[in-house]
Amino acid sequence: MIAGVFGTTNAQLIDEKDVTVTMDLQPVLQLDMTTANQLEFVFDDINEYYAGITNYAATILKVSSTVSWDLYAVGRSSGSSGSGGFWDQQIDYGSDNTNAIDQLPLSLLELRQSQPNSGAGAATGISDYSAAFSPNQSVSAGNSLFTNPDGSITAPTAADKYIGGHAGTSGVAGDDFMPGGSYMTQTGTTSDYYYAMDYRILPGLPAIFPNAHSADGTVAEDIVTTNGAGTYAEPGVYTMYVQYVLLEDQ
Amino acid sequence: MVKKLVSLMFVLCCNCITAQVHCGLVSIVPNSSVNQIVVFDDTTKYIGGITINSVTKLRVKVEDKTIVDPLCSWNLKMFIENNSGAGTPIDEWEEITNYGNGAGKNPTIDLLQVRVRNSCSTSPADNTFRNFNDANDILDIITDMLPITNAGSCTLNVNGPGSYLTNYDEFNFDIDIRLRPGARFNPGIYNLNIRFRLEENI
Repeated sequence: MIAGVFGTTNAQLIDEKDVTVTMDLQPVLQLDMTTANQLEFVFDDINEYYAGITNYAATILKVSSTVSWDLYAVGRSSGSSGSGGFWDQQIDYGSDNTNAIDQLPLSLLELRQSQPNSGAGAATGISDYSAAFSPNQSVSAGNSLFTNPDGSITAPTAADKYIGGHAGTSGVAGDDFMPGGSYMTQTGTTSDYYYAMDYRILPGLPAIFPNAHSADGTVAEDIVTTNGAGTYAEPGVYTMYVQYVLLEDQ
Repeated sequence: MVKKLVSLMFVLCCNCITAQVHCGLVSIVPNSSVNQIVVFDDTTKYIGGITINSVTKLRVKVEDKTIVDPLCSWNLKMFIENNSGAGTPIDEWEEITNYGNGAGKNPTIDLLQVRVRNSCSTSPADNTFRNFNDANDILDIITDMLPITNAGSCTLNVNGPGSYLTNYDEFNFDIDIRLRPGARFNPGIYNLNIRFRLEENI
């Protein structure tokens, strides 16, 4: 018995070699954007004031991410018109009529995304920009651009609009994040990683921008509501920019 | 009389201990450890994966005893280790650190694919990527307890005495690894250890 024990435990010749694999998964959040450097909306015809001007698919957003992500757009300016929440007036046309307002809200710009936000189940307001642009005679808050009153880049709340994902970190699929993935593998016309963005500006006549609304869509920010009856947008050249922010779910 | 009996038992005992050894030497040359770091830092690598050919070479040397035992043969296996004793789930990589909020899932062991190959295709799994499902899995390169196939035959399951020095195509194994994580797992640094074990068949 002793021999048997010794024989099975000690006699066999063995050699070993180890290969340790260390895998470094670095987070990748990649937003590929195809767009013109500058989008121009020139209102020089009365029909354009009435009907607005739409630039279809002016920006293409393509997402690749290894982590759960949120994507939102925020309107911003340099604040030269008194606040970060307004367009920057570059040139002032006309005679400075007292009813001509040079503080145009950033939210007058409307966006439309090609693919609905499928990660916004926990949203409490208008969750995204997927609604069709409203007819020019119908006031709508469905597509007005998200902005912060101070013009900052701060992320929208649960009541505001995201393009993909939403506010919160519930970890529940479909509620407030988009899962990691890439437009390169999630192809097709309904990819959650590929968005074509349309832009519209509808001044109306008089030019009061009826579709401008607060971030949650509950407060109208058109020129008349904000500044009083009889006011209108001062003719001139205005600039602002849209910042697209892709970030890990939060 | 009693003294002689005890001596005889001792001799028998010693003979039994050494009688289980059929081979004189079994070794992997060199048997020093290898640490391969694989970095995923762009989308292409995540989607396409990273393959490292010949991450190591297993050079086998099995010698007969001075008095040749015709039963000398060997087997070669792969084990996987993830430091499960420290609490790592049985099917996941060992987490060294997490990046970001770590809200997702840590990488699973089946992400690692291992391929073994040599010129004579002696392993039944030659040139095929395989994976472990959990830390209890064992993958054979040359299975144990097979009939002896002598060196020089350049065929399947060569497991007789021989050496990479004289029969390189049968006694050398190139080890390749492939990792293709996709966008499923928490960013971070993770470890797995592949242990290659060469044993004589008993």
